[in-house]
Amino acid sequence: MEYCTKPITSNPDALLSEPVGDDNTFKRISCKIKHCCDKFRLKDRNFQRQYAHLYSERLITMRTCLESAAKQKWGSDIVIRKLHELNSDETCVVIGTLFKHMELQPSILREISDEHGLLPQPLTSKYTSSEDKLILEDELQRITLVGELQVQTSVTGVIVAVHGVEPEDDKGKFHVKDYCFQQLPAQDPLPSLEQDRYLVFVSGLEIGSKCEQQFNLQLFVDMVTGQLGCPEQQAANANIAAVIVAGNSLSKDTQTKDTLTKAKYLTKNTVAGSVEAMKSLDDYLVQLAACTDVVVLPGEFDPCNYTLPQQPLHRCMFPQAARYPTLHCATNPYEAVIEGIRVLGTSGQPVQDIYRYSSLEDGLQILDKTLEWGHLAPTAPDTLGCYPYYDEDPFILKECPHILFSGNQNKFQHKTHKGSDGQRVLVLSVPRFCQTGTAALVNLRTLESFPMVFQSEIGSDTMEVDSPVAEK
Amino acid sequence: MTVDSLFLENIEEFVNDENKIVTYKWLSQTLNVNCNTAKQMLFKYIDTVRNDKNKDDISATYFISGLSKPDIDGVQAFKSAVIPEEKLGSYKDSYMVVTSCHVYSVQKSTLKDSNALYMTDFEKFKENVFNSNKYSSIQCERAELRSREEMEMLTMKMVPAADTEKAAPSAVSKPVQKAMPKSAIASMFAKTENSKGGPVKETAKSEPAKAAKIEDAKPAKTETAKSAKTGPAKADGKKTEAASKKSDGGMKSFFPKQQTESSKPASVTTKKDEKPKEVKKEIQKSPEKPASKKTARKEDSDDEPIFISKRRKTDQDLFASDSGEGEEMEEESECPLPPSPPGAKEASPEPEEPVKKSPTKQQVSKVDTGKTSGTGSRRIRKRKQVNKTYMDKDGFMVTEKVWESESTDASESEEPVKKDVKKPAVKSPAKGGGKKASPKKKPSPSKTNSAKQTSLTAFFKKS
Repeated sequence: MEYCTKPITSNPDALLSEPVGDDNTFKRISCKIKHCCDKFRLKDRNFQRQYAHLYSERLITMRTCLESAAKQKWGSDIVIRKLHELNSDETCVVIGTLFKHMELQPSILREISDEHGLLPQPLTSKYTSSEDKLILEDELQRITLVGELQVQTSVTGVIVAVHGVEPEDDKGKFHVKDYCFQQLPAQDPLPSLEQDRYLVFVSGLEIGSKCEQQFNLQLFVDMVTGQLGCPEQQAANANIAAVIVAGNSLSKDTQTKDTLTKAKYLTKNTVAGSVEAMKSLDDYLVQLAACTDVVVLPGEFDPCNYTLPQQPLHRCMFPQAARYPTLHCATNPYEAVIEGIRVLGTSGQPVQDIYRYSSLEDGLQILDKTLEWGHLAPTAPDTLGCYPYYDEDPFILKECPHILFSGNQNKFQHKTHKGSDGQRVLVLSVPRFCQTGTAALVNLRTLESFPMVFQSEIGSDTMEVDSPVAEK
Repeated sequence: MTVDSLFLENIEEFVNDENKIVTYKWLSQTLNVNCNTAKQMLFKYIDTVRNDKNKDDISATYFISGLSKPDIDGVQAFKSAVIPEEKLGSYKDSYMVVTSCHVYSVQKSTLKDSNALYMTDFEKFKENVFNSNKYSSIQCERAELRSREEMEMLTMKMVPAADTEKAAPSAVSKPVQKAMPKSAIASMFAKTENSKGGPVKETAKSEPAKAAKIEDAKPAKTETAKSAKTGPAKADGKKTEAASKKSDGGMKSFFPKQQTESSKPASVTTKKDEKPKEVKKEIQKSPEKPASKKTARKEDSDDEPIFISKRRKTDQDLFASDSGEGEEMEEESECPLPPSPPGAKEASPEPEEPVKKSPTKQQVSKVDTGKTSGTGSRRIRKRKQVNKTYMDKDGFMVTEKVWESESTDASESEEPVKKDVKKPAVKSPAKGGGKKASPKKKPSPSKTNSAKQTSLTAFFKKS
């Protein structure tokens, strides 16, 4: 049996029979994982720096790619100017960083400012409004952008090349006729695998929450470890090479942030909610690790640092599962080459942040846009917490991945992004397991993906499962 | 592999008599059979009960999996579900292709929710966590439990590197890190030698070698390095006890060395008196010493207050004698030289050492008024800033601050020293008792410990 659009099983009811005792065991397929998350590891933690270095590094690095993209789009004879050398009424190309000025953007200065006497901003899901403005900044100056570049679908931090003119009568504004982003970098050719190999993505387990789905999660674990199912399906499951747990393995409820504000005498002997949840997670992981390679990414609610890149969860938190060498604790964002296929993804924070600061609604669309913009997390460090890098920006896409995923999305979605150079990227949005009971299965040979849904309907249990949606 | 035919009776027992919820996983782990066999066993049992006995009081749940029919958006998912027997038919219809169907569990009462199913399996899992995959149909070669040594290697590694390449660096770091435990192990051997009751000389001989090794492993100050060379047997004896623990034991061993060093100029005689005491202690204790840590710890804790008191004394002495600085330096510089002859003669039995020490002491302390060992007094020259008033040439009275040296005898210096001793002693109990009460009590024990003979008047001064 194979996980494909037309699976063929000869005997699904094979186990509805007399026990004979001739059970064959299947071998877990081999998996060559080469983790490339060294660039996301923090070597030193110097928070004395300002973020200006990160932005300038981003601009400098991406400028060269943008120049070649601009030349390709508008001809090699176009003029590329820096803002301080702009001539009025001259059609030229300017490369710089986008800055979106939003009135509703939470500003810490406004919050603590006494003279305004403002109340703290109400929490809204989106901070955009119709009066937002786009500004282009390069190394020395900034200029307001009007024209073709849509404000609502842009976010701060994207490096863009705009083609237009600064008219004489409207100085200070750059009228944009056209724009372009970095071209998708080169992609390694897809290796041809003889056999089907599957990668399973799961995220948002949210252990410790009230709506935690223990039984369904156990079903998932049993499926992957080959306990459930008929022998034919178990044989197919044996081809699952690795499981990637993409963040939020613990739930928000385990964070118990109120201990910071409550009085000490009230919280003296309370145990953090994350302790029990971590033990529970360890129980699941030890079952998985005993049978397959597992990669665990930290997420927004996991006991990990807040700023991106999140460092790997320490293996001492998994006393049982860490005894297996198949457990890999990885950074968020995560990059690896699995059997020659480059996988890149995050636990969903960048996508969530872009959702908040733009009018884009669909998680898959946002993920696709980040591929277009050439940057994993453009809103970092403006609205997304980020480490103040000095001489590098590890979120810039330098190599084109084969699979780009983002965890903790609302629903399972996938699409194939086609690049200008023949690159094909599977863009995958992995849903939250606690909400949907769905995991994502990707066939590494064909780059097809399917949702795997786990549910139970016993007694009063009726699982409301959001129907998985695919965009092709 | 044939299946044991008793399984039917077993299942019947579990379901009917013990009222258990028998899931396939629970059954496979209880009867030690493959999970697929367990599923078949359950099916057979249901079949038997339904057909033969007609006592249809059991309920069953099934697992079904397959590719679903395309939904509104045309998406097909691989759905897996655990459903009660009644819904099996309707579920099969909702799938486009059914890929698996088998019994999940059998129980007497109808289940209210999936929690009971989950708990059965969870409790069984908890009984043996690392065997969870034993009866599964998929076995993974890579997933081998790491041995204890490997786990320890991982914990000793400095850089967190959670990659598949961990195996290579850990292999490299193994020899390096084995050296570390080796030295610890070496020190353990040294200790056990001691505990065998061998004569002190032998241990003393083996000590410098081991001590040198431990010295290399730990950061050593120059003073302590010097004293390592001198290595009076007593200090080494202390070190073995201390070094039998790991690094913090080693650190404690530095204290006696420092005190032997700096205490020499200050109170060589006191040290001398303590030495026969402590040496006796050690000789007493060494035959008693099994290789148990507890005794080692007790000894250490016994020794510590003594050392602390000695240390306090030496600190005070250093602070007290400003003019004595130069003298101190001279004395210190001479210290390495005289102690080396006694160091060379380590093999000599302990009681001889105090005798040896006295000539060296006399050589060393120029300031001594000739009072020999046994008495604790020693002249201490102090430099004090004093106001001097005099008539200058113009007939004016002038008051000037002038440094004057004043010599006092040891008994006066006892008081401030004792106060320092009191302070740590007071802090450590951290219990009430008036501050006045405890200081008054403290002098007596500390006094009996100090080998200096103090006059009675010391009791009444600065009370």
